[in-house]
Amino acid sequence: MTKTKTDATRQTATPSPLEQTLVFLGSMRFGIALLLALSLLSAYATFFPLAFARERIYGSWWFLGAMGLGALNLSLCTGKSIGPRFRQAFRPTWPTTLAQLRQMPVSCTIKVSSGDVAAKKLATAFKQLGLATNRRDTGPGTAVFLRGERGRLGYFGSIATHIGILLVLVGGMYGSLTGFDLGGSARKGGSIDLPAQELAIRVEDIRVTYNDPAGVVRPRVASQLRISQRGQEVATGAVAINEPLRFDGITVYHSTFLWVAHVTLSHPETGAVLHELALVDHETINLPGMPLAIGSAGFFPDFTVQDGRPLSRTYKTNRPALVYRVVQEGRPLPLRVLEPDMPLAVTTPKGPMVITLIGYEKAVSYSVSRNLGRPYLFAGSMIMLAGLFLSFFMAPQRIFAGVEANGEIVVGGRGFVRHHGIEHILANIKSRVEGEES
Amino acid sequence: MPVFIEVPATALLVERSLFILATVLFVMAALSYFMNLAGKREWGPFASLLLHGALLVQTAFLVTRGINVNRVPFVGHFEFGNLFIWASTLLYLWMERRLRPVFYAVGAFLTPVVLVYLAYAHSGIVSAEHRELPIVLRFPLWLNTHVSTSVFAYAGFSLAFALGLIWLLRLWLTGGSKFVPKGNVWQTIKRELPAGSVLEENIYTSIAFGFFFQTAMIISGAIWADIAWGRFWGWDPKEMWSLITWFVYAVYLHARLTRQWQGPKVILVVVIGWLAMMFTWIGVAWLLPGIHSFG
Repeated sequence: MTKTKTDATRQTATPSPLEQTLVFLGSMRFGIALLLALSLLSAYATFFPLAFARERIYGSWWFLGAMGLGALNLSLCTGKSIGPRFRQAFRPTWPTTLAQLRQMPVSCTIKVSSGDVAAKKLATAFKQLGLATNRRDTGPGTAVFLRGERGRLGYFGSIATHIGILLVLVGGMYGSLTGFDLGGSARKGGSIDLPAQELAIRVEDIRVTYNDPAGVVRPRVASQLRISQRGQEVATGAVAINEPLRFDGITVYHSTFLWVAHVTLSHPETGAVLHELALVDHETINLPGMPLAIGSAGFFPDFTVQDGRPLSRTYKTNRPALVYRVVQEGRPLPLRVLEPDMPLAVTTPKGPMVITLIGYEKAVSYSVSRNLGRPYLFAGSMIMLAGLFLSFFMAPQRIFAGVEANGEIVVGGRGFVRHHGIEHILANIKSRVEGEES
Repeated sequence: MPVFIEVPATALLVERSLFILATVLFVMAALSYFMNLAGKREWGPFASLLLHGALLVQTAFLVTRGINVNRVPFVGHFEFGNLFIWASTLLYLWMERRLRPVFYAVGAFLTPVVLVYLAYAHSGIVSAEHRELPIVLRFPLWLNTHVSTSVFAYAGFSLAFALGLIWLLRLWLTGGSKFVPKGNVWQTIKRELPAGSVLEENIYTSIAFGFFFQTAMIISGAIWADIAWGRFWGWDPKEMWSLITWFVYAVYLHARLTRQWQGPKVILVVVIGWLAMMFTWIGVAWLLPGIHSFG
């Protein structure tokens, strides 16, 4: 009978596969393995071009899955630790014998002449050291116990940190699901259309302010924008680097400024313009009707060559030049430098042509984003920092002292995650009690 | 296109003289800490005095540099490296003050790490020119918060690394391996090294300090990026390596909490964390350029 009962109890105690899975998913061992895996995956991803890594690695189901498992692990870990932390903070176990105090990570013994006043002296010493003090009498003729502590909030540091991280993850996810991060470039008079958002951003003007007469310092480029949504004007304002335009949760940033070079391809003998192109920096345009493309390797306002590489000496248009390349049937030809009033010959499948730089102007590249997760990200970050502060700089320390009637005092102390500084507190208590005694 | 500042010759002379003096003091402090480690204990307080002097001169050097560039010297590897040296020394001396004389032995391991940083900052690989602040960085509040938190984070991790090296040496010398040298010097060094518990506690303290500031650095960077670039996180290599460093030290903190990892395993994580930190600082700039390439 007894055996059957034991077996039945054992069967009841065995957790179900679901419980076992949850225990595993919420275990610190699994959390550590995930952190290591995420570190390795992230390190691997950084060696790829950013666009590729964002799309194929950071945006992949398995990377997002690992992050999701991390969030699950954090949630389970946090949920699991709330009860124990409350108990540790508010219902600590009191020692019942002096032997238990001696077994604490740090302990010391103080001998005073009488036990009668020892408890009082200890309480004074505890208070002088800024320890919140509690007293427990175990009954007449037995020991009196005192508990002093500091940094009780520190018990909740890791919980706050984990909640903060979870909020950041929730904010990030919410922001990416409900928001957008798009971009585009436009020159004066041009516009960027974002059909999904029903937004149109028109560039009214682009103004350049030089910071020095020579134009060596990067100038301030500000553009005046008029933004409309579903045909209604919703915002107007200037945008410059570090000076975004915000409206209705949408932010328009100036990412960088670009140059647009205007070139013509004309007939070498008649001079008739066959193609007119607006080449934005580092863009390639295919010519209609033939296997030929013209690509910009950059427009240089104050062109020079240094160590075989084209560069601009200043931001001012002292010697404007377009560095371009012809791509013929998918085969890139060597780079060439095109300056105003200095046309060059180009061989095309439709016969020779002349390429001429007829003008240039500035354009601005914008990033348009909406992130509704911003408040969660911000709140999560602050909670995370506060949690770490509580964990590391308000680490809980708890000191117990037991006083026997014969005047023997045993003081023992422990920290929550470390016992650093406890020796110092104990030495201080000892010197104060013994000092008063002498 | 970096814009250089023309610094008056006298100011330049003061700045360079202070730098040379600081370097000399750092080297002398390192040698003196070695003497202490070799059993000549009277060299310990002297080494500490020299390091205090080096810190003072380094502070003066940074102030002079700040005056010469007319801003807080936070930009580029040269300036960041010197701040990092200053913060590492400051953190070490704060710990030494509480734990001397047992901590003098740590000085013999921290100062060489500082000398490695000094060698890099002054190797000529990185530009020591006086440069204008790039326009994208002209956000004093966020620049100062982001960079100063990173300086203290790196200082904490550097000190943890130095302590980890000592623990490694201690394990080797006390581990009973047949490859342990038997000479008197080694026996003396073994005697001078702090106890394992002291090292363990202080590695934790250093990493906790660094981890807090690393988190603050990542958060301040994210907020700044949102203001300046329109997104909190861009998956840029520098951002990712900062996060990787954070992950590695998070592994350490959790492994320590469970008390499952002891000795060599813990040291391995500390060393990997330091390598990740160094890669974030130096490796990313040279091998994986991105939007953080200001140096």
